[in-house]
Amino acid sequence: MVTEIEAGPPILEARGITKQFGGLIAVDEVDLNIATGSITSVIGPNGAGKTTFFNMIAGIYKPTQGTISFKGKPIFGGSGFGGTSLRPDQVTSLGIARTFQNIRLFANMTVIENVLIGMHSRMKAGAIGAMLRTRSVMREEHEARENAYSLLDYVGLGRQAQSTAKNLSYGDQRRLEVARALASGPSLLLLDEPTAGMNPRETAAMTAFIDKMRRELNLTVLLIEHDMKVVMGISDQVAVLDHGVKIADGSGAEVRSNPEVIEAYLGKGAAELSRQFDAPAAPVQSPQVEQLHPGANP
Amino acid sequence: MASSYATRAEKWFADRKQEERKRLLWVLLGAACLAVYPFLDSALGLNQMGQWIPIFVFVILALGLNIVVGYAGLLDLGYVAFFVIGAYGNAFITSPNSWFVQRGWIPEYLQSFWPAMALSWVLAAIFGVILGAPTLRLRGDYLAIVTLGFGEIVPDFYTNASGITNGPQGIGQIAKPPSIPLPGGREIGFSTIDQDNWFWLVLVVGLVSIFMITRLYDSRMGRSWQAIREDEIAAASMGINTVSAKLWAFALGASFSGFAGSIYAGYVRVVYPDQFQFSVSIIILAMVILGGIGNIYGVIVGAIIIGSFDRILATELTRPLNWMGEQLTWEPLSWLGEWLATHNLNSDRFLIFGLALVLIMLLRPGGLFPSSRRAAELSGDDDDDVDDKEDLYDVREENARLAGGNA
Amino acid sequence: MLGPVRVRDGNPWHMSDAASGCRFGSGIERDEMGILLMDFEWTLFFQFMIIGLASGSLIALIALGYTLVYGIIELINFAHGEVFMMGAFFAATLVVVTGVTSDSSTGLIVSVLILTLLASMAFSGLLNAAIDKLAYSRLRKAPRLAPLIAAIGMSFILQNIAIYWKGPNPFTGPDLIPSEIRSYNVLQEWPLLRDWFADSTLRLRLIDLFVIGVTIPLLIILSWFVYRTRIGTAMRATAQDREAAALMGIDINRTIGVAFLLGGGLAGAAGMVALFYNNSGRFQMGFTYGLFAFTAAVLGGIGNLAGAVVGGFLIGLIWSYSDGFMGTFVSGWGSQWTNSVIFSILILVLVFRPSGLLGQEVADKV
Repeated sequence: MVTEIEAGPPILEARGITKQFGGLIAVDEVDLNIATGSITSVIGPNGAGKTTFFNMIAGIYKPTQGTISFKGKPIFGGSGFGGTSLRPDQVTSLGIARTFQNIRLFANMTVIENVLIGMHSRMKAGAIGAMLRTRSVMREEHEARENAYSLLDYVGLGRQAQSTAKNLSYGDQRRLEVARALASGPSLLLLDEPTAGMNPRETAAMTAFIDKMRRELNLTVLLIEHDMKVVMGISDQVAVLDHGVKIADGSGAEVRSNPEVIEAYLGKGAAELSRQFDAPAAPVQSPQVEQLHPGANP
Repeated sequence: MASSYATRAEKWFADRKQEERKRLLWVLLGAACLAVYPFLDSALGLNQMGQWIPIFVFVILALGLNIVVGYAGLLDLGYVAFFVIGAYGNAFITSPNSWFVQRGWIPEYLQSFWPAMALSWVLAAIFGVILGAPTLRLRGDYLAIVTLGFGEIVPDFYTNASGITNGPQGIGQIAKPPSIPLPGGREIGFSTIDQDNWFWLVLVVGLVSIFMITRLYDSRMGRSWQAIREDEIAAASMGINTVSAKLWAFALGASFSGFAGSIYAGYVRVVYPDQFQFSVSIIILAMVILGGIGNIYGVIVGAIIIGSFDRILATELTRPLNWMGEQLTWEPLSWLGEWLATHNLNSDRFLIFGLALVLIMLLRPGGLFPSSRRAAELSGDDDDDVDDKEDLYDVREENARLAGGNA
Repeated sequence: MLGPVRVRDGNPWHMSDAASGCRFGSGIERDEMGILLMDFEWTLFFQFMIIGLASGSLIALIALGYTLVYGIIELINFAHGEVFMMGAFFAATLVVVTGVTSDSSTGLIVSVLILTLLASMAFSGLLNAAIDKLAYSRLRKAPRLAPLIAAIGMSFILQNIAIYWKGPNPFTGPDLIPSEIRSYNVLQEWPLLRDWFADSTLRLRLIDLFVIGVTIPLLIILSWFVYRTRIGTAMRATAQDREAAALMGIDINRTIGVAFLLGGGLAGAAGMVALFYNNSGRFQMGFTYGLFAFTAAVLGGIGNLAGAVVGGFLIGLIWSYSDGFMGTFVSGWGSQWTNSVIFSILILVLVFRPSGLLGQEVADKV
């Protein structure tokens, strides 16, 4: 499944990213290059700084130090005048979309409205146009709704378009989060633990779906996981964070045999692993994506 | 494949159109019922026209505040500030006593009601942006206090800057709307004595406001407000510029307040700062909350309930209440009778508004006529409160749930 | 009716300007910009400092109530100013009930004052806790704005009750402290100070000392309570992390109740003192004092006890200088602008430094 990515220019470049909360250094001088079209995973035990790193790319946290650029344009870089620091919505308009670890749907809105919110940055209608319902506004609304329906079909939620988001099942909520992220037409998709809370069957389906999206929608995917096994099958590149520091970066095989990574997971992180096996749906198997793929198509 | 998507979207728009037609019919029906009131008023000798027109102005104010509080979820405790700005805006532009007019700064053609109203509208919106731009980043409760401060400073300014505003006496001789000539030499006039015409004018303005606001809410912007209300960080991550969306809500709300203010100024023909106190902001807030925060029709009903108590019922019901007190001479309750006989309901106004706010929050947070969505958000037992749940807890619970569901 | 209160009724400066001995009008010139050219007078400066410190200590007492409650449940207790006002009303009624007047013996007056102070504290404290139980406690899980709206409603209800109680007009304070004692100038009457301040017109009245004499012990008792007792520790723990505190076996509801009780008690004390200090009261007095105190709490860093005290004194000083001192140097300036000045401070602090002077910045959890 792992596709060969030609060494093109990286779509995302992070240099020396550091984030400090008071006395705590959550992320420490992390560099990361993401090749266009790849699936890159950032893994690490809980509290390793993965989500903080993610939030810095998405523009929610301002890094204490470092630079981030996307397709050669700076997202964050330099301080003082002349420095850039984009807001989350500006990052999204550049073509980066994200999901959240602890699902953050607009729970009281309908499924299709959630997707329409995702399209916000691609639409233009303003207050005056909305009041007058000008022709261009109406056309835009029509198109948006049609696109939203087709996106929902793509993730397999076409029938639930009018239900309220909070009434969806857990797995469907995760799918809706993905659909909502896709709605902004991203070229880089950030997925924060997309399989958290899923049983092995659902996990395998989601993993396969991520790969499918990448191929069919020409996406680059950045994935956060603390479960190493989920990631190995589909990732072109795996970076490992531990205590905010990047301790390994390379192909899945390289990372798996890296002694520091093993120490992080089995030494200091032993409790972490045992917790994973503790879950009711244990044991977690390494999902063979190829095997499960036919059944996983939504 | 693609055509089926198109039909689903087309069908949705067709459904919406039908629903809107139905709603429009109801609104027009309601408006028609209200529109015959002036005839009733004179036929029955009620003499309440002078009260109903301000009540309708307050309905427009409540509709505007509903954009800010109900739609965007921003608690504005200084809404009266924009009402003042609108009312004084009209006075500054049209009154011959105005400091600006006397200096010849206002061109002749602007010195009449309608241009002044448009300008006050814009002026209030500009002030909305000026106040909103630096403060809308603040958390909800801080924003409430900041707007309260602004709502205090603005009337204070108009009281104290007496060189320009003529201080506590205020400015009089504000322009009224020009008469509309009718065929046959008659005309529709808008002097203070033309109460009926004023009533219909305000009714029409109210209808136009409802029309604009419902369309606004059912648009890209309305959706972005809902998203911000539900989860600001998620909304920002989906590409919504939260500050500018809130700013729009704030400025639009302010502009409604501003043009309500300038209509009010044209009706009463004199503005002075004591008309615009903190309690006015709270009365409007009570209207929005009582009726049903976020539900435009609920807000209208709430505004009419509170407005009519404030301006009509408190006075009108006092006499029957006193009469009842006089009849109540039964010994064990004679103290109550004595109290009722002299009690003036006007002194209970704040108690009533306060009770309305507290009881609605405790018993029916969505208001009397809740918008279903807003009620779900305000009740707080929203199971979507994910951000304060630990990840670990989340995973276990969900796994257990899924396992149970599969069994 | 209700609304921006011109602070004349609450402002000590207006009670005493005729007798304060400040010299105005001598050698004043006015330049074209309308700025008064007058020699800077240190006497005047210190005079307003005394007034500012006295009203500042009152504000600090009220601000502590805002900060205690906000620190624990993040609620701006909008009705807190009214709890303060109710304390003043209760004190006024209680003094009348005891039947003591300024003609009674000094011992009796002093003991009635102490009794009134304690009773007002108890009354306001219980009132505040009762309001919490009645209204806010049911809204703990609701979004932040719901309890705030309920608190606004409560503040209006209390104002209306106050109108039933004492009518809508200002009333003079109970005639308990004889006016010659109230305006007794310590600096001219006390032996040692008399020599130092012989040529000065500076006045430090007994009533100023009374205010500070009530405030300082209360602040000491409060900090002892918060930092040295079990329940105080529980309060601090709850303020830091409510869930963790609950897991450690702290009864959260009781802790919140105690915070309301304490805050209300301090407001009651402030109400009683304000009644005697201003020698007047009105149903709206809570609105101005309350907002000024809230500004003080925000200025110091809301949730921070020391911040509330510092902020209280700062706001008291700003209030006093804006009311009187500025008026003598800048023409057209006077007490009518004080509200605007203090609300502008409130807005500016919230916009530029929402954590206040002493507060720490806290990152929002994403």
